[in-house]
Amino acid sequence: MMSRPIEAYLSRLADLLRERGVVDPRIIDEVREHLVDAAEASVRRGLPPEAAERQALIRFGPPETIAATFLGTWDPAPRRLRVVLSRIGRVLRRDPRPQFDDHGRRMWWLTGLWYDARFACRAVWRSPGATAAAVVTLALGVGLNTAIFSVVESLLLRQLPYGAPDRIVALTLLDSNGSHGGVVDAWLVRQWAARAQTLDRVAIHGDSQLLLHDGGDTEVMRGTRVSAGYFDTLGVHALFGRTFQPGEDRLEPAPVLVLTNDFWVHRFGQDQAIVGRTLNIDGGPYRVIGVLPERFDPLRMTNRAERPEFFAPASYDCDPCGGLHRVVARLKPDVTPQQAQSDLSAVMRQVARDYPGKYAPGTAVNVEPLLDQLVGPIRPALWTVFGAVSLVLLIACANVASLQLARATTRSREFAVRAALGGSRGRIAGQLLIENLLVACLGGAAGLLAARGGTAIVVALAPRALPRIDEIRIDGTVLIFTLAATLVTGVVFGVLPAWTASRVDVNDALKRTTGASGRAAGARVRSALVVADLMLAFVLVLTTGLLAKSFRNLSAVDAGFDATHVLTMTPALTGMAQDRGPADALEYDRRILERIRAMPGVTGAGMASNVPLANVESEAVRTEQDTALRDAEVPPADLFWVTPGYLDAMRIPLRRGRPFSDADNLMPASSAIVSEAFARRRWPGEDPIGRRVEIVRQNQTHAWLTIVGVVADVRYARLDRPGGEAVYLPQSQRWYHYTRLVARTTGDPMRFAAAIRAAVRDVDPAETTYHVEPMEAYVGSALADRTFAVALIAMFGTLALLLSGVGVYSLVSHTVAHRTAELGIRAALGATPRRLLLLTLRQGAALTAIGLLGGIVAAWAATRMTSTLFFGVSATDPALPLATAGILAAVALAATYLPARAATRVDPLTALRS
Amino acid sequence: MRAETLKGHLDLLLLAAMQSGPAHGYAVAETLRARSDGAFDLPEGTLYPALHRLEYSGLLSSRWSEVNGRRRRVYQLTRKGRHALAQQHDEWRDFARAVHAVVEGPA
Repeated sequence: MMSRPIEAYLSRLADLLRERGVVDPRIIDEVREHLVDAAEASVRRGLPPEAAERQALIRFGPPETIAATFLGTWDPAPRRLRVVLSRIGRVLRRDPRPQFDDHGRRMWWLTGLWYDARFACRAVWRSPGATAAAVVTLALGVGLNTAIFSVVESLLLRQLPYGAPDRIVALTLLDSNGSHGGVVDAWLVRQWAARAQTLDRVAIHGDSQLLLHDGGDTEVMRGTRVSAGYFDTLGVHALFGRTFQPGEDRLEPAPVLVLTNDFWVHRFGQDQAIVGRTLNIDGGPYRVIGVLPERFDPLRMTNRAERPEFFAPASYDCDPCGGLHRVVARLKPDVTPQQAQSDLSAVMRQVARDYPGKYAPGTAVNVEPLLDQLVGPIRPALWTVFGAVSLVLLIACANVASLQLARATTRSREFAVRAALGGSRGRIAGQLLIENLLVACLGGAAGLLAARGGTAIVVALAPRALPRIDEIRIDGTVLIFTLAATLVTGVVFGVLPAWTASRVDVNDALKRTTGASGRAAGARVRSALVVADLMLAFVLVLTTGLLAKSFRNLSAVDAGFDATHVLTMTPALTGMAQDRGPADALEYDRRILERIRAMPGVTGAGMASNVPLANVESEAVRTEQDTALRDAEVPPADLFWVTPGYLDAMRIPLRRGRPFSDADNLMPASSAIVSEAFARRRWPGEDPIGRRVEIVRQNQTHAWLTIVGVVADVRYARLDRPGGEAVYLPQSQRWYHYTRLVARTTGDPMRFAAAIRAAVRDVDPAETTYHVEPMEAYVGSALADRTFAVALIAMFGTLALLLSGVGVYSLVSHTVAHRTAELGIRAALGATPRRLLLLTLRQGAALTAIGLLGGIVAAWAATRMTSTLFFGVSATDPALPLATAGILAAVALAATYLPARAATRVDPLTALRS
Repeated sequence: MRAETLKGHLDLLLLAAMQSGPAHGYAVAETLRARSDGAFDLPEGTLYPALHRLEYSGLLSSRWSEVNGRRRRVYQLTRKGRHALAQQHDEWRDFARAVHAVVEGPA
């Protein structure tokens, strides 16, 4: 019964609705049903069909009236959002109401949303330049932030991959001054385990190495010796095979090995039959009893860059016990580290009472969550970087907000027209918000790609010693973070333009002909954003400067030795040397050194127990005036057992006396060399040459050693700390100690590596060397934390500088475009180009000045938080802030100059006519 | 009755027309006309915007359904709608009683 008058009416109504922006297919359907019903009723009363239809139409009302009435009910975006949310809520609550067969209703809001989204796409597409700028800016901001967050999350926030990791702690001894120190031996750990109430399990671990003979080759395996309870303490089980059993960690430990997953994969090609196999290890056969799972990340060795390849039992059930150990423990449930600390310190006081002289009475135990101990040193640096990158994201947000605000301002006429046609404020704001979310999502998606690259760069830049570095990845948490960052960014930079745009005054905006309106409010907000840009950029650039200067200071610091052209390596010193007595062992070392020194291009060689920036061993050193002190009260010093030639090869300057000669390196040793710091501390103002010292080892007596020389202080532990009190002893004093070999060459030391290793094998074909590294690599590692921080912050600083330049540029050029008419009038009235240039420059200069002033205040606060990373720089030194201000002012000036020059070229006639 | 006078009370009238059960737009118009003896005679087309408005404020719900072999949009009071109806009805009664008392004078 659908004939012409009704259809004509419907098509007219549909046109009117569409013109008013009302898009709801249901209206037309519903009206059609009504009209057909009404017409049918009239037909039943006897009217001819066409007249019946006309009557129905008259009763329904003119289409203009109906369309206008619908406009009032047209749902503004926020209310539709509510419908969407309630629908989502219903789905989430699993409300069984069959709403989804309700095609019309669902279509209704979907169509509205679709309409808005389509409109947003068109609007975004229409200004490709602004969109690209916004997307790229956001991609950089979100990408960098995600990359750094993935590092922060992987390192600081994610728990260790062990069982109930929050209960695992590291135990160390604290001396009466509260500083770390003191040798923890297995005997003491057993005392703790037996007496403490708060510990569930305790275990020791320490570095170890074994020589594996496989066919004709000998290779060095580096690993960790642990007590049998180690894996239970960490809550880790073997992937297959087993871990250690009680009794295997006796004085003479059982010759069994557990392999790490990595070593098993790379050295044994995932051979499942490895368990039960016997390996030909130097000193006897070892049986492999288990392989660890892949997700078990073993604790690093003393050198934080080194990961163990195997685990073997330590001497735990022993008395007396030797060796340096680190201790991990698992707390009982619901015990806090503080409770454990007071419990263990009480235990320690008892032990000191029960065994007087062995431990100083004030000795306490420090209990620190394992995660804190691992990442503690890098935590401030990482949070600094995260803070820096968050600032960059803020700048990016400010820039995008500024861009969007500029677009919203130029579109104020469009908004006014829409408002005049009945678009509500909410609708316009909602529309803009959708546009901004669209831009944010594009930026976020691009940012995720940037984050993948960024994470790879960060990992590549990161120091090898950075704990958990191989755990860094973009995981679910990071993705959620990115999504949240994107949405928050979209809303944050979208709300402001939307709010400003929705406040448009219809009359005012429509009256203007140039499309310039809403300037006052928009421009003020945008100026504030640019000022914020400049402030943040100032902070980042200044921090970059301070860190770079710290880095330079530190690289230039006189460490007391010369690392250039020095090669280091470790001779295994096994086989023949091990079985002989001390005299033969010393002679063996002497022959190796003699052979190396004879090589062309080698100017010096020596051996030392530890090289600078690797490891430091401290023991109590008694002087003649300390003889009254008990062993536990004698102050410690850093000890180095060295051969003649070592000080010379490292170019450690001799201040007084003489270096060691071959005659010093005989049994028994009788001479010593001390550092200036040691001499100053023990004999202030006196000449130490000829004085005597004694190394205190518990229950052992040692001969007095006469001081024959004084050398410069060497920064053995860290480059940013002055060298400690050091005592050098002839190697013969502890001939069985692990030793490093150093050789000074005339060029790139690595070029000599093969020849020097060959020279060692010439002395004994069975001898192997490993850990071949230039001394400069140790300096590099010591600087690595800072290299990392400087590189990252410099990256962010540069980015911030660019972004704030873009911010200033877009603001000023926008203003110039706005003021074209005004500038034209000025030009017509006789203003010279110079005056116009100055007029525009003044705006940029004012913003820059305010931004820089704010930046100085912000930097003052920010540098206080990052001061731990500074070395030899003062935040109050005016040189760097001035330089920073200069750089920023130059960038801002350049960014202002380009649009300002355009202002001088305004043609009065064109400007006035437009 | 003039359309302007009616407009202010349209919500109440529509909700009341739906009181006895779900109804489609044409049926609502018929009910209004029949119950008011033809006094309420406003352009029928204006009912639909009003129905839609009531639906978006959650007082009515609607769905397509088959009535007498044809597809029709059927409206129904929601719980919130019943509540609103009761409230507006009370207000109207008070208002009507007061108007009556003033206009008719003391009995």
